[in-house]
This record gives sequence, C-alpha cells and structure tokens, in this order.
Amino acid sequence: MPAGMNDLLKLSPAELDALFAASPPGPIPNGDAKGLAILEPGSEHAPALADIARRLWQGKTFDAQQKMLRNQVGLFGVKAIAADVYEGPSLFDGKPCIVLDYSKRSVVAGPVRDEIRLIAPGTYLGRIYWDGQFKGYFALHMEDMAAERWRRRFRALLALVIGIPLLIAILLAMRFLPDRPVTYAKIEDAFKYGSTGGERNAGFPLWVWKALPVVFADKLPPTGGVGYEAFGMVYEKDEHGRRRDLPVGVMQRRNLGIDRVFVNCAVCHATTARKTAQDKPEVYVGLGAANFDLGLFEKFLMDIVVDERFTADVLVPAVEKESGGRLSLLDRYLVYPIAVGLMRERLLMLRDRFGPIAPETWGPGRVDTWNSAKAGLNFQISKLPIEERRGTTDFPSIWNQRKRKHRDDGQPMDLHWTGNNNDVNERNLSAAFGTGCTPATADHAAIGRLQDWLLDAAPPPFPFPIDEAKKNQGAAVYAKYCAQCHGKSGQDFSGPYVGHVTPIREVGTDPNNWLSYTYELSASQDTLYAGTQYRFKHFRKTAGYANAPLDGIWLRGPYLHNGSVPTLRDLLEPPELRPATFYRGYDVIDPVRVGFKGDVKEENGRKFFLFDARLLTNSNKGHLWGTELPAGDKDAIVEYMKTF
Amino acid sequence: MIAWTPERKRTLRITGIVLFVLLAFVGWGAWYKLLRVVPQPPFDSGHERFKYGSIGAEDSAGIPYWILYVLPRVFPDKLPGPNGYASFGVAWEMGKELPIGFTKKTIGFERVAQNCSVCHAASYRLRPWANPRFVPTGPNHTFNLEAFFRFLVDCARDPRFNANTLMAEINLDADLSWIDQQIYRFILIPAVRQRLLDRGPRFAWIYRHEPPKDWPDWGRGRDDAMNLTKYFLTTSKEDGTLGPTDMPSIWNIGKYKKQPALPPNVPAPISYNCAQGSLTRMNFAGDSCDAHSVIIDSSLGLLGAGPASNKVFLKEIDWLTKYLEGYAPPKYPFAIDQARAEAGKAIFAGHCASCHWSDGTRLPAPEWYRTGSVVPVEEVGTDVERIKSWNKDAAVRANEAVESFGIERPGLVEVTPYGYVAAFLDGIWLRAPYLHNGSVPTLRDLLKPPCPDPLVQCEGGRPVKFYRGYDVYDPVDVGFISTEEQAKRLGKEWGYENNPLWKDMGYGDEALWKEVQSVGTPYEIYRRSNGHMGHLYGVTLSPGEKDALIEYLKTL
Repeated sequence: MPAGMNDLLKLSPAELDALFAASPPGPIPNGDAKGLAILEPGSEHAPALADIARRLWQGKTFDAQQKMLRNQVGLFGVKAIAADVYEGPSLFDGKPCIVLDYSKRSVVAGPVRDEIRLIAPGTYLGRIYWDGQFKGYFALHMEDMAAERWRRRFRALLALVIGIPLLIAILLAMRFLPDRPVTYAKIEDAFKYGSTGGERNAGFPLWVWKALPVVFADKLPPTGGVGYEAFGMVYEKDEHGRRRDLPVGVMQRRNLGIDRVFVNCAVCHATTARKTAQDKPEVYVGLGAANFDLGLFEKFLMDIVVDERFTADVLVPAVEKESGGRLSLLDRYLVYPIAVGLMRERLLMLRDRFGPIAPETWGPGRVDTWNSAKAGLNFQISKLPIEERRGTTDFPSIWNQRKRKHRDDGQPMDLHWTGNNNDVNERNLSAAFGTGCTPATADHAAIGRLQDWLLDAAPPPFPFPIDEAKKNQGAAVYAKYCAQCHGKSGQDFSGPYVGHVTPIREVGTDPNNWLSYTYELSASQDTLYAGTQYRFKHFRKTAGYANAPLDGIWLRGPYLHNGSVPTLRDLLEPPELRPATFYRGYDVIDPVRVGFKGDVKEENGRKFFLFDARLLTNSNKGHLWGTELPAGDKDAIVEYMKTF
Repeated sequence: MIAWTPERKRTLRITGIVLFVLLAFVGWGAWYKLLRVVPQPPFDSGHERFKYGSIGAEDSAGIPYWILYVLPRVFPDKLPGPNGYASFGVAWEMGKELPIGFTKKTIGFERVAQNCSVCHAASYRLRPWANPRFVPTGPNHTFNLEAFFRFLVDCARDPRFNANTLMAEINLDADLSWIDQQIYRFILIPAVRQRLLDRGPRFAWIYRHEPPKDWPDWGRGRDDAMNLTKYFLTTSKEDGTLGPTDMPSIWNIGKYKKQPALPPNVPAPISYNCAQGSLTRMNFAGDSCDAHSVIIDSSLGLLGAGPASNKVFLKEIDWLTKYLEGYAPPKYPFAIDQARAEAGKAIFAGHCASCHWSDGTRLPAPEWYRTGSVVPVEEVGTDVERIKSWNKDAAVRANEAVESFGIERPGLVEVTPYGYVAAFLDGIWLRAPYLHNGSVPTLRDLLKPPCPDPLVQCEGGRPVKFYRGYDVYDPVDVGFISTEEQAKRLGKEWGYENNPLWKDMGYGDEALWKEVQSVGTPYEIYRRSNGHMGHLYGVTLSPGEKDALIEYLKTL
C-alpha cells in the first residue's frame, strides 16, 4: 500500500469530498485492488478502525472485460459479493465516475452503490451509498494481492487448525485435569472425610452417589435406615449445625472433571458409641466400626450394577434432580453418561471379583480381609478349598501405631490378626486398597498425614466410673494371666509375647482367618506396589494369631479376631457359656460386662444383625486363658481392663 | 532445473541438519526405550546371583514386566490353580518380588525372563504349618513348567489378550508415563502376543494332554527336556516321542570329574567327544558327558535363541559352572540314627555301590566303576520312553545348532541312547520322586516291587497313583508326602486327627490328604512314559535291611 494512501485517513470529510470532486473517474480498473476503509475520517481512531476493517474486507478484484468486481472478505479473503462496474454520473456531483453497482448481482449488498474516482496513479477514492444515502468513504489501490491473499489464508487456516483446538484443549484441561481432594485442617476431620486417593480409581460422581439410594431404594438392606444409614453409616453435623453432605468415612475429590466420592479409612475405623440409649451417639475414630456393614454395602453395589436401571438414561435424570437442575449441558450429555458407563464397568469388575467371597455374610463391623485381597488380585475364589474361602474378622483398632513398632525383643510387632506383616506402613497401604486405592492412584502425601497421626492417636478413656479396689485386685490377676501376651496395661505394651504369634492349636480360636491367609497369597502380595519404594516385602504366612495390645479395649467389642464374643466378661467364660448368638451393630456400651450391648434386636425401627457363632468362620471357641478363674477375679480383670 | 543459489543451498543445509537432529533424537529415544541395557543391580551373594541373576534370556525370551505382572489377573481361568503365579508351584521366597528363577532386567524396558534356578531350586517344608526352605541348585519338584508354557500360549490365544484389556489392568498398578503407555499399547502388547502365538505350533505336543488325552501331563517337577531341545533348539519335526523326566539337582557337579579308573578287563566305552576313556555321562540317558556343555545347552534353551553376546554369555556360564561345582548337596534336615546308617552303609556297599558310589570323600573301589555311566535299559528295566525321545541325528543337529551360534563346546554325545545313567546319589533325600521319570514317590517305595497291573494297586508294591509337587517332607519314607497312606500316617502323628479345629470344619484327619491332592498334580503309572517298573535292586532286602539302607541314604 502506498504511503500516501494512509494519509487519506487524516483528511476530514470535507477534504475528502473536495479531493473526490476534483478527481477524474479514471479507467475501469482491472485486477486486484487493495482496500482501505476510511471510517471516522480525520479522527485519531481512523487508523485503528481501518485496521479492524481490514480483517473483514481486504479489497476488491475487478474484471474490466466482464465489467464486474468481487470483494475480498473475511479472514480468508474469500472473493464474494459481486457488483457491476460501469462509468456513470455520480450521485455526489453528477459528473462522471466509476460506479460499482451491487443491485443486480448481490442479495446482501443489493442496496449498495459505490462511486470511485482516480485520485493518483492506481489509486481510487470511493464513496459508499446505501439506498442512495451517503454512508462513508473508502480507497482502493491497484496492486497484485495474490501473495498477500495466500499469506492471509494460511494464517487464518493456522489459527483455525491450531488456535481453536488449543483453546478447546485449554478449556477442557481446565475442566478435566484438576485433581484436588477436599482437605481438612483438623486431623480428625481429615481422617473422617479426607482423601486417600482411592477416588481417582473407584470414586463415584458425587451426584450419582446421592442418587443411588433414591433410584435403588428397593435394593437397600431392610435394616431400617434412610439412604446410606441403612448400611450403618453416620451423618455428623457441620460447624453450622447442618447435617453434613457426606457420612463419616466418605471422602471427596475433584478428579476427571467431576466431584468424586468413595469410602475412606474412617468408614471401617470410626464408630459411634453411647453411654445409654438416651444419649446422643458420639463418633470415635481410630478403631473398628461397630455399626458399619461393609458387606451389605458391597452387596448393594453388586446388586445395582446388574439392575436394568443402572443406565445413563435412568441415572442422569435422577442426578439432575438430586443436583437441583444444576447440571451443565456438557455434564448432562457427555460427562455423566460417560461417568455412569465407567462406573458400571468398575462395579462389574467388583462384582465379578468380590462376588464369590459372599460379603453379605459378614455382618456389621466385620470383613473378610484376605479373601478381599485375593479378589483384588483376581484369584479364582471359587476354586479355593472351602477352608481358605472364608475368613471373616472384626475391624481392628489402628491407634497407637508407634508403640506397635517395638516389642520386647526389639523387633516390630506382628500386625494383623494373624501377625502376617510387621511393617506399619505396609499394613496401612494394604488397608488403603479397601478405599479404592491402587498402587497407581494412592495419594501418599494424604495417607502419610493420617499415618503420622495414627502413630500416637490414643483411645478415649472409659466413660463410666471405675471401682478402684476392684481394679487393683484385677490388675494383679491380669498381671498373672494376661500381661505376658497382652502387655502390662493399655498404655504399656511390654511383655515377652506381646506382638508375637501364638500357634493356632494353642490359641484354639476359629482357624478360618488363619487358613484363609496362604503362603501363596503372601507371595502375590509381595508384588504389590512394584516399581515403587513402597513395594510390599513383609507379608508372610504365620503359625497362628498375633497377641495384640489391648489399648482402648472397652471400645473394641465384640471380641476375638472374628468378633464372636460380645463382651470381655463373656470372653472370660468357657466357650460353652459364651453366647452362641447375639446382636451386632448396636452402639450402647455395656458398663458392667464391657463391650457393646449384644441383646438389643431393634431400636427405633433400626434392626441389628444376629450373629451366630455356630456358622463357618464364626466360632467363639478357644482363648481359654482366665476362663477357670473364680467369678470375682474375672469381674476384677474386667474392671482393670476398663482403664486400658 | 532448480538454480542452486546460495540462499537455496543454505535452506537445504539447514533443513538437512534439522532433519538429522530430529532423526537422531527419535533414534536415540527408540534406543533408550527399547534397547538400552541397564545392568542388574549387584547381588549380595552367589546364591542370590544364581537365583535372580540374568543369564541373558531377557533379550530373546524376556516378557515386558507389566504384561507378565497382569497376566494372572486377566487370565485367572487359565492358571492351574486359584493363587496367581504361585499356582505354578514356583519357589517363591518371602518378601521377594519375583519367584526364584525369574530375572528382571531393563533392556529398554523392564523385562522378565528365567534362569537355571527356575527349575533348579528346591523347596521343602518340615511341617504343613511351617514355611518352606529353599535350596538353590536343587530340583524344583513343585514347579509345573508345562502349565507355565501352556499358560503363556493360552493367554496369547485368548481374545482378552489385547491392549485395551491389558492396559486397563496395568494402569491399576503401574504409574506409567504417557510415552511408556503408548509403547506398551502399540508395540509391546501386540509384539508379545505375536511372539507367544508363534510358539504355539511348536508346542503342539504339550497340548496332547487334552482330549483324547493320550499323553499324561508332565505335572509338577518334570519336563520333557530332550523334546524341548529338539523342537526349539533345532526345530525338528514332531516325532511322536514323549519323555518327561524329573527336574534334576545340579549341585556338586565337580563330582563328574572324579571318574573312577576303569578296571583292566573293561573295554573303553563308545565315546564321542568325551574325555578319553571316561564313562561318566550326564542327563538321564547319558546324552552328554561334559557338564559345561550341559549348562550351555540348558541355558540356550532358556534363551530360545543365540545369545546377544557370546562373550557375556560364556562368562556367565563359567561363573555358573564354578558356582555349581562348589555347591555342596544339602544336609538331611531331620535326625539320623547313626548306628543304623552305619549298618546301612554295608548293605549299600554290597547292593548299590557298584552303580551308585556317591561318597565324594574318597576314591572308590575299582569294582564301583559304573557309577555315573550308562546302564543298558534291558538291564535296569525302567520305562523306555525317555530313551526314545533322543537319537544320534538329533544330537548331531543340536551340536550344529549351537556351533552356528559361534559357541564351541564338547557338546552332546552323538550316539543314540540305549540306557539310563546310574546316578550319583548326593543329596538324594531332596531328589524325590525317584527314577528318571519320577515315578516312585519315596526311597522306601523304590525298595518295593512294582505292581504287575499298572491300574491296580498291589499289596506292598510301589504306588500306582500318587500326587507330585506337595512340599511337606516325610522323614519316614524319605520323600515328599504323595500318597494317602503317608498323609494319614503323618496327619495322625502331627495331631490332625485329634485337632478339634479341623474336626469342627468337618475334615479332621482328611485335612492333610486333601491338601496334598489340591496342591499336587496326579501321577498315574499306567500313562505312557510313566511306568514305575525296573530298578529292582534291593527289593528283596529284609525290612530291617531296608530301614538301615534308607537311613544310610539320608546321609548322602
């Protein structure tokens, strides 16, 4: 573009009119003419406006033979909007000019008529009319624009091919890449609601989680609770006194563009307890849940995934309703349908692998740990010998882990009921599988924080008065009959056999959990976390059950590894006098016999689980130590153990 | 014509350099991700090196780590049992990432292959509730090699062997980078599948256990060694022979050098490339007479191809040879009645020593020269099938094949076999079951006569059916618990019968026998190549003499 042409922008309308009036029409142009839109001529905005206009209109291409032109428009410089070109009288002064008449050739620009006159060699000044009304000025300069046109097209194409996808990619990345757990400042809250990373693998979309018990209300167990309370989950109040969104033991994380939730450590390691039936339940953390029925929860998931309603068609509208219609179009038509599909896949895998271990037989507060581990490794459970196929145990307490790192001989204590691992960190990572974690998804930072806290987390004191004299009497008996295996007290874990394994024939308790843990399983477990510093190295088959410290034992009922004896006092009776059946899942403490009250079948419509010690893996036999003492001594031992 | 203006030349030059740098980078990346050799971390001891050290099989036979990792999870139905890789009876030490004999090495990516110890490390337990002890160089009597071979091929043949399914499982456990995921998805998974499928036709003969089931499984602790050599080292055509034999112990191989001098009246043996006048042969049918060659050939079997570097390979072979020469047979882990053993020694000298002199501490009497030499099958009378699985032609071809890799060694004896080697009995207590085909579960059984009808158990005869591969030791019969009689007897001794725990579960004294059956693989002597006939030496001894002889054998 000649330097002079831009000077036109500086002229006032009057000066432009004068120039137009003084110029000859010139010949009918032929070929490309570069355009300049002269908007608000003379003003300081004119160059900027011309610049913007150039993006939309680059110029015209004349065909002198055909007496016509086409405009070059848009980012691509497409030739469009044609007009006839002829010499005729100007609407401005009636003198001759070149008329660019759009009326015959263009639909959109039909009312437009441009008039141009040659103001310099190769340069025309133009006036625009719309329906005969003067609208503005422009200029044209005859030059070959082919190169510029290609450059422009190339640039435009580049912008389309790279810029737009890039923009979309950035938007999608902002939406789908963030991986952010909901975090809690208070460590107890972090334990109750904090992430382990398992949501990355197993997390349900938050709204689907909420919709499930609504859509599949008929599949909830008939225990009398509402929604997830049917499984014994507990909702706390937040600091404003409102019921929390999620129950204790459910964590949340923004991942893959949605809020995902799944159960965490606390679902099995937090419990409610009450002094009396009239008290409000209080949530305690770091011990085995008394009321949560993990098995029924798993069964529920396995049932619904093969239900015909488990489709996006049913669930997405339900989600929309739950969320109060807050779903975006993207969520409604893309994210949630895909999420439901993926969730279905995951749950089918769960059903396929975990179905054969029959979790519905566990009852509240129990889990078949090692068959779950086998299921996770996709061992074919149904091919296992029957005695290895069931091995249900009580959820254990997990507090005071630091003290469990040392026993009298300087070695770490044998952990788990069978003592099959003496490394606290491996124990924790192994348990984290239950929260949906896989080696690839575990959030080691978050788990580490919980782990550090558990080192010294301590049980709460017994909430009833303790008879001092009886306690002292009990301490002496306990020292004689119990302390060597279970430690001097609830705080002092010293004792020659504490944290050691007692052979199965000696302890005589139900062998199924011990049998279910096989050497072969330990071998496969030692491949877990392969390729990381966390790879398991400490799993092994032992000869029986480990002698556990009894810290906080009053809150850890029912007793024995399989939770087959309701109270401490019952455990001091010979097996034939221990209750063959009792109810599990009730959370009122029995202050005399110590443990949860086991004789309550139902309360306020909530039904409890009838435990039958005569069934496979439920035996309440064995552990005969102290059973032959006089009743007074037994009472005294129980009194002493209230201080643990 | 293009005019080569300086500008154009410059453009061309720059383009060339950029292309070259790009190509070099891609090439370097491909080398780094697929071929870069990272040495294994050093081993604490020779034993560790023997158990987990690479012999170079990762190059040609290595399976990418994560594929191997997830196979038992994706294809649990194709395993011989419900316990992951442990179902194969591999010897797996507690706390170890891989079983003994599985070697991990990075060649571009982490690969797992096998070394000698996969078949040559024994495990045994003193009681059913005890954990296993491991003996490197011992026979791996629990390992079901055939099932492992089949498993890999069966997985590859299954439609689930695809990138989507395997990657879904891999991503549960491995935090692979994007590029590594693509390498697995688009290169490794299809390539491994193809590799395994290619193996399939050459393994057709190990599928003959399927209906009509005319061939028996190898079962735990056995392999058809000479057929493996024929069909994989030399790609011979299938010839319908079957010769599974026990995995041998490979400790103390220095003994093969201690050849007794031939008595003057004994003619020099037919020998090809064996030390002049030496009668000592190796392998069950005497197919070789040079331990070094046997180690080379067996190792090449694991490589499945020529070594990537002969120099490195042969260096490892030299190390192995030294290690095996120095490895003493393990001591019997139970008490031995010394007086009775002393009495047994005399019986041994009278009845066994001419073929089985095994006391490495002194030179033998000249009349014991047959130890380690081939005894014609007509004379020993044991099952003949193993001999038929090898011949002179096969030996010539195998020698040629090894030579073609550029490896020089004395090699296989180019003679069609005609009998079985009278073995040295060092560490014989851990080498059960007995005879070349492992057809007799215990030493005590070997001193019993075979049953005339292989389908009917005869009174006081060798068992016609038993289970192989259960690893709890029977110190009375000397061998592993393999029969109902043993399981019941030991179950009683160990208190299974009276244990209320087991009784509660409804299977009191059955427990041990059930376990033997669920872990072990059945062995039936009526099946082809499984005969337990022959080797009748000592069968007619009195019960007291047998007890004494067995007691002595424990000391070897």
